[in-house]
Amino acid sequence: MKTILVVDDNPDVINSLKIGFEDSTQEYRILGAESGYKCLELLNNITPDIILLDIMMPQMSGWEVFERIKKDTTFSTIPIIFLTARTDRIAKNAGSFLGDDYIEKPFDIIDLKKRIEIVFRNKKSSPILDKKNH
Amino acid sequence: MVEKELKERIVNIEIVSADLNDLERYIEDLTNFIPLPLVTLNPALKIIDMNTSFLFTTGYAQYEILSTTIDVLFRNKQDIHNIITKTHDSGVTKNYETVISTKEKKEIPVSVTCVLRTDEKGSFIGYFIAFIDITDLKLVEKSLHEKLERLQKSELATLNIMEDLQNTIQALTIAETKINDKNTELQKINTELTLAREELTILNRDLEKKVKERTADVEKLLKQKDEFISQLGHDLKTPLTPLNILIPIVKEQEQDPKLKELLDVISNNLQYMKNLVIKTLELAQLNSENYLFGFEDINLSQQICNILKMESTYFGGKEVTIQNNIPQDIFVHADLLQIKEVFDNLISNAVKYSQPDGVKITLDAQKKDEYIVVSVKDTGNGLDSPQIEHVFDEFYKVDYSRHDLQSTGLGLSICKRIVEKHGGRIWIESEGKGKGSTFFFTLKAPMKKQA
Repeated sequence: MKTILVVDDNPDVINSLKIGFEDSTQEYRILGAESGYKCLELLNNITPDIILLDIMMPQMSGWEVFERIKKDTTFSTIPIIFLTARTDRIAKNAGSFLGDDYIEKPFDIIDLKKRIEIVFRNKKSSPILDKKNH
Repeated sequence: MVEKELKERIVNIEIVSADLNDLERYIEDLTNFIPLPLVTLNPALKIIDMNTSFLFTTGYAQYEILSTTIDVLFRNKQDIHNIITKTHDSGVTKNYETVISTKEKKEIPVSVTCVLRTDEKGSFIGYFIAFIDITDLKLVEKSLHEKLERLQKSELATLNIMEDLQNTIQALTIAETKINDKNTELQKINTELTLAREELTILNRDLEKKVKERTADVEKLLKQKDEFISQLGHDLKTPLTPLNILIPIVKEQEQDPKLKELLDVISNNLQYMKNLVIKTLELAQLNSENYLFGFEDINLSQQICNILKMESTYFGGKEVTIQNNIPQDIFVHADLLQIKEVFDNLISNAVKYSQPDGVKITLDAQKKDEYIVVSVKDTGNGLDSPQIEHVFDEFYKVDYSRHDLQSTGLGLSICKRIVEKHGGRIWIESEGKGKGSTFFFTLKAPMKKQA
């Protein structure tokens, strides 16, 4: 079972993802953090397999959380997929170049699952991507 | 002694007599020499003597005229009577003008001077009369008179002219006054005009300022609108996310067919709302200054093929034939994603607004100067003029009565903004309802000629 950490200031997004993922094959476990601070706090105890990171959050934005995670070698290998309502090219580019992927809200659960699988597959087969994230 | 004395006397008498004869001859010669006609009358007005000039002037011989009464000469007998009376009264008559007739009945204007003759005792013994021919004088006088008359006439004419002139001058003066008045009026009007112009300039300046302010206000508001839409879109996206995840799960788990049907309705509306939010955001972003375009040189025909492969699933069971006539060598300088969006919108639009039995869509492109004119022609429903006018308006739907969950009313607005952001133009031509329509838009050709 893989652990997915969802960082989003809207708890309904976290809850719906919990239902969407846990309900099916028991393949994934969803953990939620309602702010950047909570995310960093959780990372002290748990190392998730992947982080779904919302960009537009109050107090600490997704960019800042991303930066802090990547600075700490303990967590820097954890793949990150950006979740955002932003559709502009800057966000898209930053999302796909900085992170492992980028997905626009509102997304389909099936589409998200596919993208997560692709990220895991790439992680296994491509050491270049590993290096990029270091 | 006596004899001697007598002889001396006789001698003296002879001498005196000779002297007298000499004197008489002298007077006679002198009288005849004078060119002035002279005549001597006795108290009964009979001519007793005359000179040569008199005979010459009157044309009579001495024997014919001697002892004749003087009035034979006068045409008007009253004249000689007047002369005589006046001479008796004052001793002399000077320059009495009258007319005398010659023997040949020729009339001569004369000036008559008459004096009384007296003997040594002072007794009256007759008259001397002198006639001065004033024919020349009369002629001169007549000529003068005529000249005078002419002068008078010309004076009159001059007076008339003067009068005319005066009238003209008066008319001119009146006209001048009127012109002056008009001039004054014009000057007044001019001054007023200048003032009005100045006022207008000020008003214009104010207006320009106001227009600038208003334009700035409108621009600010438009920006605010786009920002608001953008914010609203983003805000709507987050709550849509859990719905988008949860509704399919609920639908999957639900067994009751009636509830499943209701969930379909909810699902469709959610999809519509999602599309609306995405498209609205797209539109707002196209207007945003921060929007970045990724311009590149694109082979249009090749990219169309890619789009068509992807889009074929959207046709919803209709039989759609798409013919790509775009020449292989046509390149455009554009943002690929945006151009895909335009084609996507135009094609799905053509499919949407066609009869259920299907539609044929023909794509073509032509190079025209530095532009490429792209056309998307369909055999669909077509449009009438009022629809053509509004078809690119935001949230415009051709048929409002149709509750269409497929249409956001933003597709063509997005196309318009994309094309305009590319420096092009988009327009539609349709021969009317049921006759299909053709969308045209222009894109820039690559700067350098494509190899």
